[in-house]
Amino acid sequence: MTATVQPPLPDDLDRSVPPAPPDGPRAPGRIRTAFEGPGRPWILGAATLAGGAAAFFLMGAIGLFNIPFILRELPQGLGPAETSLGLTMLAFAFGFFLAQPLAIVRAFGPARWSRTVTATSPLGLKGRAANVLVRAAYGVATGYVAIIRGTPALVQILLVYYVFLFTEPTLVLFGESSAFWAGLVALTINTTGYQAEALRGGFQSVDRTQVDAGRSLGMSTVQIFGRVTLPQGLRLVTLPLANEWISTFKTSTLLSYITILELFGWARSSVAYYLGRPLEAFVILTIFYLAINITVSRSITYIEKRRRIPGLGSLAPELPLRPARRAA
Amino acid sequence: MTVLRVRALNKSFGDLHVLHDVDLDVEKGEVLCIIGPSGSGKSTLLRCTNLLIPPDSGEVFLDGVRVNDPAVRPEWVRQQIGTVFQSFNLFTHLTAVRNVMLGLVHVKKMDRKSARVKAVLELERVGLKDKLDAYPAQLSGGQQQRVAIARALAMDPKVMLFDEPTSALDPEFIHEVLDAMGQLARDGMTMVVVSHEMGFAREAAHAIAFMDHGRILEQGTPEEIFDRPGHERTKAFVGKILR
Ligand SMILES: Nc1ncnc2c1ncn2[C@@H]1O[C@H](COP(=O)(O)OP(=O)(O)OP(=O)(O)O)[C@@H](O)[C@H]1O
Ligand SMILES: [Mg+2]
Repeated sequence: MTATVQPPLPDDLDRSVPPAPPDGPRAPGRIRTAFEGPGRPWILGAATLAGGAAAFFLMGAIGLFNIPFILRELPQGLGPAETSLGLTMLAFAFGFFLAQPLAIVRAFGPARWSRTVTATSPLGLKGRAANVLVRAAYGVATGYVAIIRGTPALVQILLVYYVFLFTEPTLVLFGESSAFWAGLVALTINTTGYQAEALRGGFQSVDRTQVDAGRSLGMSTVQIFGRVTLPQGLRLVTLPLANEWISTFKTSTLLSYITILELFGWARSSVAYYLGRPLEAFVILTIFYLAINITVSRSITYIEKRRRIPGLGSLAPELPLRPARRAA
Repeated sequence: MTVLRVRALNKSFGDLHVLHDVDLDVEKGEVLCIIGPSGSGKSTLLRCTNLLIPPDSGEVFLDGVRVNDPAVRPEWVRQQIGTVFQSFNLFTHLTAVRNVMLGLVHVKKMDRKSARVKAVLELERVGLKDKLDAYPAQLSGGQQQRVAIARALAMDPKVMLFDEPTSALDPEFIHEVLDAMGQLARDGMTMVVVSHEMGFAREAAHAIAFMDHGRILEQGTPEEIFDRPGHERTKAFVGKILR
């Protein structure tokens, strides 16, 4: 057996066993609540959000903060979030491509993956020099991931910022300043490390038997990766990658420390300090981040569910999992 | 004509010597069944034959060409040897028809249209015309294994290797896979089958090889091996599986 990083994926719902009818047999002695049952898991989330909104209006009602002010200052459209979103999307996209080679090396580098995996040598390369090369690459990739995961994002951002400041302080590219590019580079460096680990988990979770099947058909190592391991692996890591996107988006708040006026910087400087309304500023921020992140995660969950291949990939975590039902 | 010839094949995993000087000859159109206790090296022998794992020493000839040779690309060899696995090993992200097409398009370099035509044809042959667009998880074990057979057959292999093709199946699905294999045998396909399905072995096999501790102890016709086994160990094993 190969060691897989991810636990076996639940796939009971899509076996050829038909799902139990909505009004099917219920577990005896259990009362069904409104939150239960397939297709309605969002009720819990919606209820929580409604609670949050109620608390928000209550706090406004007792005068803790000024709701009309918030509604007035709440920018129409994405406004100041544009910088945050732009930086996040760019960094995430660059990171996605940079993470692929890292993940491949981390997943398949040394032959530790499996005793039987390679008739040739790791990554399909042959010979001693290739072996040394693969080991070196593995070391570099592992070190990179360790550094990224082992240090605070803020430290990484400041480090990159000062490197830019001391080398290219007056850089202007596509109308953006040195600080912007420093922020983009730092965010990319950061998310690359995390995405690489998510992808590595996906690649390693692809069953060995799939590779055997490809090899038995005469497919090359590269073909098997491109046609089997990659498409399956990506499906396995859709949700971890979505989480990483959200995480990157939140990390982008730290870019305000290097003078980038993204969402957080905007709220802090113009609303909190300039207008003197810190509480309102951060309420506005909360609304912004929540709205964007919930939209993103709901859309991805939706797409994932719609485009799901039976028997492959994880269910959205908030879907209640029915116990496995065996065909009679 | 000898399609598959194995000479003095040896394979070890660390200190474990799994195959000892194995010799094997499979003629064109012949069906050879390999039986033997668990751990005797049957799967390893098949995997060395199609070079999924490299033999330590010995020779494998396919149509007279030595194939375990550094000058020969293993991909080229595997393309000509169909393999059916115990656990089906269908590509889980592809429908039945795309499972069959993958090798045609990327290994045989057929254009997608003709690859699809061929894939549909092969699936029809194993009785799965109505399951073209089903994903493996939507198929029963028997159906999955038939797709796997179609996938291997589509590559027009010179010989088909089956490694316990029915032992992962629920009993009610075994016959449909054996039927497909029997049909294949009657069509003249050269086959090496690791299986303890006695009915199939007696009916379809031309020869039975008994393997034990990494050696082929005895080889003969089904009657010889099942009814008058020469070797003590064969006798004991056959007694056990015939029960
Ligand atoms: N990749 C491997 N690494 C180490 N040992 C292995 C490996 N593959 C097989 N073996 C060992 O080699 C021996 C032969 O295994 P093999 O799978 O060929 O037996 P088999 O005859 O097919 O058995 P079964 O009927 O259980 O499938 C076993 O002892 C097994 O543990
Ligand atoms: Mg076996």
